[in-house]
Amino acid sequence: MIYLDYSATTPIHPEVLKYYVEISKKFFANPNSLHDLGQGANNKIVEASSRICNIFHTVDHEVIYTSGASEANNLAIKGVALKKQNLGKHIITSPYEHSSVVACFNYLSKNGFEVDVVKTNSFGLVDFENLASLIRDDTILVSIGMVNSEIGFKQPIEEIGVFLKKYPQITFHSDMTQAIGKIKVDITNVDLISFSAHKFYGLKGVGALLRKKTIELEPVIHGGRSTTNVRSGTPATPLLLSLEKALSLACDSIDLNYEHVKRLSEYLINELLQIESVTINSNKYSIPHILNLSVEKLEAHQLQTALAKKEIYVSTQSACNSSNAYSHSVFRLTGSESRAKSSIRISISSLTTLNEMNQLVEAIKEEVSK
Amino acid sequence: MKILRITALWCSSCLIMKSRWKVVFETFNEIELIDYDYDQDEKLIKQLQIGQILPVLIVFQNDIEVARIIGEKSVKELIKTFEGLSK
Repeated sequence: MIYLDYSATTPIHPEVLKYYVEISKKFFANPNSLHDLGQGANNKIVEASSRICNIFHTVDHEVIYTSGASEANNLAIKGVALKKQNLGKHIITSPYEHSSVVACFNYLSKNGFEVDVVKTNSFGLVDFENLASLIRDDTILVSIGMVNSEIGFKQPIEEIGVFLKKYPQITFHSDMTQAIGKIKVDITNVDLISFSAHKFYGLKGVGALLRKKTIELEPVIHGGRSTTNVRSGTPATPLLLSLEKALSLACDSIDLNYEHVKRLSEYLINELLQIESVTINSNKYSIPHILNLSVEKLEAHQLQTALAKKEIYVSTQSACNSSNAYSHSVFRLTGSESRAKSSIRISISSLTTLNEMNQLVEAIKEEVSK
Repeated sequence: MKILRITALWCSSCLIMKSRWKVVFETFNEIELIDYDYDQDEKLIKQLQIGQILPVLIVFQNDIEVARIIGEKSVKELIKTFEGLSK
């Protein structure tokens, strides 16, 4: 089996799973309980949150644990919009966001908020002039994801954050789900950051929203006070701690893993470009972990199914939206319907081998030649 | 002119098109807009055979379907289409 869908999800790191089981046995008590056993679990969460902030070199943010990135995005976007609606109801996003960001913006648009979608250049990157022209006195939120999940291009989030500092009424949110654990990120000028553990060999069902302590949010899940006053529910201590463990492991070897993935990606692109009818949709701003390509002779599902028969697993679009084989992102970026219909995403990781890349190339060659 | 507009909450093209539709629908009077949600109105939408690409505008004149506008279109393209239909 050759797994090349690491941007959809990753297998769990054995150390993370072992740690999760240990913590589940030892720290089962409710961290909100005031007895020693509960407070022991609570202290472990506080320590883990502190280590997460250290990884991101921040003392300005706090960690709000969620069920994953979709919940983190919902909390960030709806939380800011509802909290600041008295200051304004104008919100801005980009055309290349994850469906959980898009859905929040569409939802808010149906509920009295005015949405603008910033223009992007031919690489998918935010057009700063257009962004400046969209900002108004009543703009309260800008949400731009760091790495596009389908094509992999990386937005200049640091520069956008610096640029938005001129507008103190605006809260800046970035969905960094496809970036964290793969590339180094600077969150200094970002108010809210979403991510999910299962993208970097953690467990499914846990993610986080990093919140600058000055940013107020309206809760999405109401209830009693938990580890934070904006997200209720009994803290899932083993999941929360496993997120920190997975993040630490991923970030400890981030440079080494990045170089490995970059070498494989360059090799793969070079090999693929020698195959007739293959075009690469990813561009020079894409991270090496995500490679989007079109084989215009074949529809996306056709190629995906053919590869799956050979036990090679890739995605059409992002996994969260793949019931539809047409990639809006590829169409928007390339203007080509045939490329949009035939695009597949290969996502590689530190676990990927050169041999796997060669087998993939051979399999695509075989399908093209049929 | 009656328009059935089919969108989905998770659809980025639907979000992008909102501001463009606003401009165009303000230009052309007497448009009756009926909104269907791709997920919530699944049964109704199945009958319309809309295919894979969202959003979809199905335009009716005198209860007869006269056009389908599929996917992302510029304001210019939309205006051209509606001008053609208004003739």
